[in-house]
Amino acid sequence: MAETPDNSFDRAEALENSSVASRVDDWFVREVLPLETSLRKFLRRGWRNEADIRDLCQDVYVAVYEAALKEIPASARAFTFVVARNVLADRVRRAQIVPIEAVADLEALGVSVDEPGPERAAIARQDLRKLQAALERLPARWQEVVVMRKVQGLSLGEIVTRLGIAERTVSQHLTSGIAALANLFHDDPTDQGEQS
Amino acid sequence: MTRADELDTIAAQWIVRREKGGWSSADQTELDNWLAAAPGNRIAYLRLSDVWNRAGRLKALDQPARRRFFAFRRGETLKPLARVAALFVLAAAIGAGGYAWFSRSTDTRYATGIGEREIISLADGSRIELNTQTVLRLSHEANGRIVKLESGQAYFDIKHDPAHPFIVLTGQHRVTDIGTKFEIRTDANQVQVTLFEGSAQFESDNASVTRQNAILVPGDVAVATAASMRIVRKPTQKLMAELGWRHGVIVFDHTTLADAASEFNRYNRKKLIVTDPKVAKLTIGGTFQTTDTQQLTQLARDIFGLTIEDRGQDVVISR
Repeated sequence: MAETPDNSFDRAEALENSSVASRVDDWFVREVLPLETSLRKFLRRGWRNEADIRDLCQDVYVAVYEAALKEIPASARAFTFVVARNVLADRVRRAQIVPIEAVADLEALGVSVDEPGPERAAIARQDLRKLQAALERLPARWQEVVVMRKVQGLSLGEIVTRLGIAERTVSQHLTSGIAALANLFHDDPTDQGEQS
Repeated sequence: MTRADELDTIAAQWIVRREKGGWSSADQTELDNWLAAAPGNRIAYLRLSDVWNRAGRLKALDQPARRRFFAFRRGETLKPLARVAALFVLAAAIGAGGYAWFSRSTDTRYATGIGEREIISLADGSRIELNTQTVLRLSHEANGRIVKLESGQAYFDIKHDPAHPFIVLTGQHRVTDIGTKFEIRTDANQVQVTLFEGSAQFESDNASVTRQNAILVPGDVAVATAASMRIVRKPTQKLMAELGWRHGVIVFDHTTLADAASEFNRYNRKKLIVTDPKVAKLTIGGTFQTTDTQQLTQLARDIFGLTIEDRGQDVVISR
């Protein structure tokens, strides 16, 4: 008995389920990710070990995302910073140290939870400038492949041909470039700089 | 390396793997499983993809800005970068084409290979998604609001600006947005414009086309060939199915095997060949990953009892 290898009903259902998750994904990308520069600033003032900032940021994201799967918060900004304060408090408790800054109020940090915040309004305007600045700070080898891929629009195959190096190497540079670009994009270089 | 950094590396590897082309449904399943394994995985992937997609805007750097950009780092890096820049400028300068209005020095070319997709984010918030084997040129004149679709298929989500209408030129046709989401597909001898939201003006410069100018509303599909132009209306569900490619799938509904094969062949190097006219007329339905031809050949074998012959560079479906 031959079975239909493609069951469109199951697929339709799978597409629908994935659309629920994609609603949260869309919200997260649109509302939460643009807060990262402010979020890093906030975390840095409460936690002095620069090496942990990206991890703390990720912890905040996971908590925010999981909450949003149940119900999308009315204000992404307010919710994210409340979560950030909890994550910091938790980390401070576990570390059994009490840096003074960690207990500071959100208001004292200049984070207004009700206003829309400058991020979204300014993001279109700042995007290109921020991207360019991030690109300029990329290490040379990663920068080269990122420029070829994103500025010149070459395919991976074309990059391999032009550079005359192994595809594996190109892939590795590109992988590192993609990850570093996101960190540099969200990082404000004037905010006591990342460890390099 | 911190936890998050390790996660970033894996997420970035997925992005690179996806961009290599030849993305199969097995790859997609593997990615889906990884994404579903932990919210952290999904977040890392979303976060990197977000910036990586935004980086498409870097193409909007105009020539003087680009020269500045290439000049910022001296020494080792300047050489290969400058060499590539020179190649690029040269290629742009000698690129053939008789479109005098389309200044070669200020446009950017985007091209996707077989099975590839690309999202272009424009500075004004508009988005263009390119499907497989598509070539699009973006002019930096007219505020970057003129593009030329040279071949392939693209979806446009345009931020309307009455002062600067967004114009897509393709063949002898022109589409001007009036606050719009639309798709344009070009084939060997016809251009198809599908309108999803807002409205757009579709014009044809070809004198032999009887209906030269039309305002499209949602649900309209305009099909223009060298000699004719007609507008049909399609139900929303069918329209959305046509956009399946934006998620890497194609949806067939009473589609002949011949049409299904040629649709698959747009996305894959290994071509499906159907020569028997009776086999070609069999109809199928369902949702398929664009890069997974095996799903179709299995269906042809198991349901219709057809013979599948894999000849290395192509696959023949026959009785």
